[in-house]
Amino acid sequence: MVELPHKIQEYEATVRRFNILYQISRSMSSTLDLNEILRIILASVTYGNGFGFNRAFLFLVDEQWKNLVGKMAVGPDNAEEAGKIWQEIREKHLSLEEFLSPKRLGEATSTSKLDEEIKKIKIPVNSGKSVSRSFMECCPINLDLEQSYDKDSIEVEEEILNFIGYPRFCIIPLVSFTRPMGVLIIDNKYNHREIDSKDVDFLYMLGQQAAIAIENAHTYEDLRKSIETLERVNREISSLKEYNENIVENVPISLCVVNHDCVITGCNKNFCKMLGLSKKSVLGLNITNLGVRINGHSIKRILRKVLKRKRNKSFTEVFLSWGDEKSDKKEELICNLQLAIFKDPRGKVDGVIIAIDDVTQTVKLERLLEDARRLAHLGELAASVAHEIRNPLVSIGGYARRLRKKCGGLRGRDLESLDIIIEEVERLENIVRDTLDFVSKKSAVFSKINLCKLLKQCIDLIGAFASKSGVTINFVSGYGLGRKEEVIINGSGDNLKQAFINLLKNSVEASYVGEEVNIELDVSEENGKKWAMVSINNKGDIIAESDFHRIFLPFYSTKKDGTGLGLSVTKRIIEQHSGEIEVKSDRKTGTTFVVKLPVF
Amino acid sequence: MKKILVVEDEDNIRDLYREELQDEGYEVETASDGASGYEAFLKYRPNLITIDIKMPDMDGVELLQRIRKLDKKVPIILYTAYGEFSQNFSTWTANEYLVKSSNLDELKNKIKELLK
Repeated sequence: MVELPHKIQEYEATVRRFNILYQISRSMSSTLDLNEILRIILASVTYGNGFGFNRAFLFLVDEQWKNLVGKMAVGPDNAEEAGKIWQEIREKHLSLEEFLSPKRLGEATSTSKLDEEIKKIKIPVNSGKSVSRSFMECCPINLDLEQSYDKDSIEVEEEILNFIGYPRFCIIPLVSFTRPMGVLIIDNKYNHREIDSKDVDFLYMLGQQAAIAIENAHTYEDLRKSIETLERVNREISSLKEYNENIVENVPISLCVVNHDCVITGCNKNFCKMLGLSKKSVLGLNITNLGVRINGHSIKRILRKVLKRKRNKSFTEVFLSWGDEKSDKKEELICNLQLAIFKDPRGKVDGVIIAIDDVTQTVKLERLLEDARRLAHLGELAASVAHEIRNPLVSIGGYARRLRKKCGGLRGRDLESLDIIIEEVERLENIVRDTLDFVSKKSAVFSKINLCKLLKQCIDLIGAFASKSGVTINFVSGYGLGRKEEVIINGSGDNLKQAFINLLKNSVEASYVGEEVNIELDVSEENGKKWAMVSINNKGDIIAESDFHRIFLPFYSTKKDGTGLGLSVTKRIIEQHSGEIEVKSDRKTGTTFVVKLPVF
Repeated sequence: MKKILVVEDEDNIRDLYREELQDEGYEVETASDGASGYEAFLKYRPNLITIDIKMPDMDGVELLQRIRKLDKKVPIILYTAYGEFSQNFSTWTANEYLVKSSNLDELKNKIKELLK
């Protein structure tokens, strides 16, 4: 009967401890911060109304599983301090939950000397001494060095002895599912209470809870790191994507991707700029609807071929055009073109990448250079040949004329023969003259020229020739600025006359009897600059588009007795005036030469 | 009768000029290069000289300069098979410039004008 109250007391204590364990467990599971968990563990074992141990020390195994590293210590540095803390708890009636609140824990454990000291301690995992054994064997060790100390008993690590400095303490392994995480060491240095087997049992249970919480925190930390890595990788990928897109956007070529149905699925800004459309309106458009043609062939057929053969195709210096083939809205450029198979990441053909490198300017420049080179070459040749030819021509022609004068008896066919010699020599001399005109670098004297007046003079000069050919010349003066007959340009009158007479003569010669040559003067404004536009149009034979470039080259002529120098001289004169000359020719409107000169 | 000196290295052209100018009623002396042209100028003291620019050894321009040192007034016609001589400053002391042609009308007209 005497035993009963004792038992009841015992049960009460057990229930209280389970209750505490439950609260600790709850507190620990409410956080995933390792430091906070450690604080909860240590605080709960030292909490006066709970286990009430005087001091608690925590060691965790490092990642390499080599050392148990001191992490945290709780407890007063001396007996006085211990008394103060206990009194505070009593006075404030702190419940365990309040006691374990993060705020209080942060205040209580941040500045302890013990806590500083413990962080310097490292105990090898496999030393075979007390802490190491408790850890490796997952068993608590309750030590009383004064009583049970003898040679056979467990050896205690030197560092622990020095650090704790008290003979009775208990080592509790923190075991999570059979895997130890660290150890908890507790003692009652100040009130000297004995640590009994029940204490040890409860501490062991607490250790398990703690280990699970620690492991959770570890897992969480690993997860957090993984997520962080993932986020970083994600950021890198997206910045890489941006970078790549930037490259695509800014390469100085036009890029677009079309799918199997020739629908544009992607493009860069240069491509949009080339088409003069916004990106929004380009995407989703069928490229064949844009009327894109390569050297006059629809791009659709070429794309189909590339997709069918799954082979890349490239074109050098081809004409790329788009817009309505027949209307004025047709646009054209010379480009280097690459059609490359576009594959998705799995290697499936997904469409074609079209890369367009606009080389119009380069090609034009090359042609100009080629012309210049040709001309320089020609100049040297022409000058030396002209001289050598001119002398014999003077002799032949001179004597022929002399013969004609002297031999009054020549009649009929004989006289005709002589005239043929004279005329043909004259023609040859003209060729020589034109050639030398062409190659000589006459420095022109520029002055203010009334273009309208100059054109009228040219028409007068060519008038006789035109009417002999049965061709009428019509002149329409410009209404561009409403200032009729007042188009003034800076130039060389003689040279310009030569240029326009050449053009008019050509036009008259290309016309058939009864046809008209129309010459029109107009003024237009382009990029804030005023240009005099002279167009000379004739019906009659047209010029093939492929010959447009060639007709301005020296010695190119379709006329039976032309020198092939007229138009090249004209072009040179116009260019000397910073002007431009162009030719258009089709069956409907005939042939038109357009001369553009800057207005003074 | 007016005396004309023709300095021309091409035999055929020289003969042509001589015959044609004689037909026009001039007395014509000829020389086939610069050096003999200068001698002929000193010897005959012609009323007018026609000189081809391109000649071996002493060319027409040099001959012109040498003659001008002695005589600033005698009319001189320079002619050439090229078309660019008017840009050569050293030829500026000639009275006329011509491009050679099988049609001698221009030459004859110029001579007539200069001898007026």
